[in-house]
Amino acid sequence: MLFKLAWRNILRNKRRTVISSLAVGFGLTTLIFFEAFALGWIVDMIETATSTISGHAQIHREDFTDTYNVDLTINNSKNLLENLGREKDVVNFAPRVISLGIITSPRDIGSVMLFGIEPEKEKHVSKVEKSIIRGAFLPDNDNGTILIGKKLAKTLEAGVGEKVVVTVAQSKTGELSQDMFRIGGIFDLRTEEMDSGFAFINMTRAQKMLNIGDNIHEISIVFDDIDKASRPDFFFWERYSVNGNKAEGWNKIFPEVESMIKMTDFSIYITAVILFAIVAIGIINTLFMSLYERIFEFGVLKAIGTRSLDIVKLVLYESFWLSIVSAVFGIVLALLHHYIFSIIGINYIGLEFGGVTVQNLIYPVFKPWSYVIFPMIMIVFTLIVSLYPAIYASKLGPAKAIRKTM
Amino acid sequence: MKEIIRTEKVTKIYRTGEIEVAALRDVSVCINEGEFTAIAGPSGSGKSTFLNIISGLDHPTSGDAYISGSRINDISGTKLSDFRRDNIGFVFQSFNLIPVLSVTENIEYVMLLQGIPRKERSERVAAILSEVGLEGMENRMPFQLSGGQQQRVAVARAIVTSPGIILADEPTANLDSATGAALLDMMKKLNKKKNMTFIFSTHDRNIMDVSRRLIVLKDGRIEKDEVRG
Ligand SMILES: Nc1ncnc2c1ncn2[C@@H]1O[C@H](COP(=O)(O)OP(=O)(O)O)[C@@H](O)[C@H]1O
Ligand SMILES: [Mg+2]
Repeated sequence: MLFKLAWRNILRNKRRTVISSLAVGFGLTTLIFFEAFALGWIVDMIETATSTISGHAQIHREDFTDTYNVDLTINNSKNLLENLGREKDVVNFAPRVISLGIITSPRDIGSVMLFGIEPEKEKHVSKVEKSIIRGAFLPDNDNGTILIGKKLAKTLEAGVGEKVVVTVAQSKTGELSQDMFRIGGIFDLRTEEMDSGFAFINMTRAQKMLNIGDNIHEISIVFDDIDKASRPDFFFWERYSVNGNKAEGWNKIFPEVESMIKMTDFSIYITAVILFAIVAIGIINTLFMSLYERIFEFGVLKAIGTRSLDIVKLVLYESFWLSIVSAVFGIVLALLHHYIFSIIGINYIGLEFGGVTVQNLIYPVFKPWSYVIFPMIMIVFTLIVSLYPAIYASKLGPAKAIRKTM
Repeated sequence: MKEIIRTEKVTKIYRTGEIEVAALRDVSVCINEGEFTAIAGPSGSGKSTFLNIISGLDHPTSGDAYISGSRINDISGTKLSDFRRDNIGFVFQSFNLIPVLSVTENIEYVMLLQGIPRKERSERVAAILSEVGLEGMENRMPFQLSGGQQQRVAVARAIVTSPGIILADEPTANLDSATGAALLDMMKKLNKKKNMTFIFSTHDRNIMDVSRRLIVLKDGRIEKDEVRG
């Protein structure tokens, strides 16, 4: 009965109920949507980060990525590549040779990260082929062409078909080795670092320049499911981190992306705290407003024998109903937002954050659990803060309460 | 005759900052079971304070109040709530009813608190509504009733659990005199029929004449206490 009474009391001042539950509901929507959006951003960021060059995971010789010392080639790479071909979780992989070098055009000079690649395999793990804006991707058989980024092309003042010279230090001896290339294509990977400092040549040519035989420095791997790549207990890491080699997922390759994800979690938490504080104040305010209007009524209820505990219950039930209504508003609004933005997307294209440039529209990620857990936290939280007005109401002396309006 | 309410030298002093107001001074009365008593006196003479003290809604500053032999000061908290629920019916001047509950629900409220089963509740509601002359109004909401009808529902709610005492604080103050007289008349009939003790306050001369016993308060003291033929 108190439950029913509480519900009717909530309906009593419909405008106030609607306004305050819209406010609370809106807070809830903000929270749910903010999380969905942040997750969408993260998904996009990971997608972009992994699909541009790195792949979901990579294998190197230990310490290679710290020094880029060309001597640190992957141990036992032949076997390794064969094994990878048999892993059912691995969809694609590509071997690479990597060296720092100097690139010279007739007009200027620049430093490069030189990649020796197998074009056919590279196509399936990175975006280099797709990002060619002028000229063409490398042919499978080396024809002495090089791919450079559009920013580097600008620095070198060199276009497709023009000649450049690349200088690298050879393995072991450190002797300089030079080779001349014709620019075969210019790419735009939409990342400053790559467009101004990466260059791609055929792998065999790179191996010759560095004098490393058929050794390689990196294997870029794409799994059937990207989620596997950030799982610490995935068998892959252990199986391939042997013989002085190291297999790592994208979260280790891009620690800044991982810390951004943590930061996002933290900002969701902060947002939640702020919103719940606002919700708390709103709810207390609404309850006190309706309480003050009904002091006489509470006096009557107490006079005719309602126990203090039942008065506490009554107010708590009212706040429960209020938060239920708010939760419904919040969920509906959040779903609506979600629906709209998952159609139109959110345009942050070009914004660089944590070293990764947003390249696609961001779509919110639907996480059903958020539609359960956030409203539930809000309801419980509301009930807790409502204890204050509830106990206040139960302590009102009936005689005083009855006199107030007379 | 058995005594049901007794006060011994009840004094109530209200303090608001520096100012002290003695709402009741040394009020000693004894009211017997089944009596129909009017507490009369001008506004501010202490009538409400008296009713609040004999029902445990308020505590005396000094002196004692007893209901059916128990000292009210000794009862507190949940016991006092339950005591009022089971032994006292209240009718206030106005706004007695819970506005979001229908006539039936308002009358049922105390029975629900008492845990009376549904069937018995609806039988009692039906019976009481015919006694107060409100048949057919079961599902009306309070705002759909006239002032006199609302007070009748309040009386129905007060008596439906058959408490020993009905306290009515100026029940007719917001009614026109004919309606007020009719309400008092109904209360008096119920008093006879059910042998319930009725105590009501009023400042209206015409109304106080209805009662057999008349206690007149003035400035918190008993000015007159008479039983008329
Ligand atoms: N809560 C209170 N605080 C201060 N003074 C009060 C309070 N309640 C009643 N009084 C004073 O006590 C006196 C008696 O009041 P009351 O019992 O309400 O009289 P009545 O019901 O006869 O009009 C009045 O002077 C009133 O102002
Ligand atoms: Mg009064």
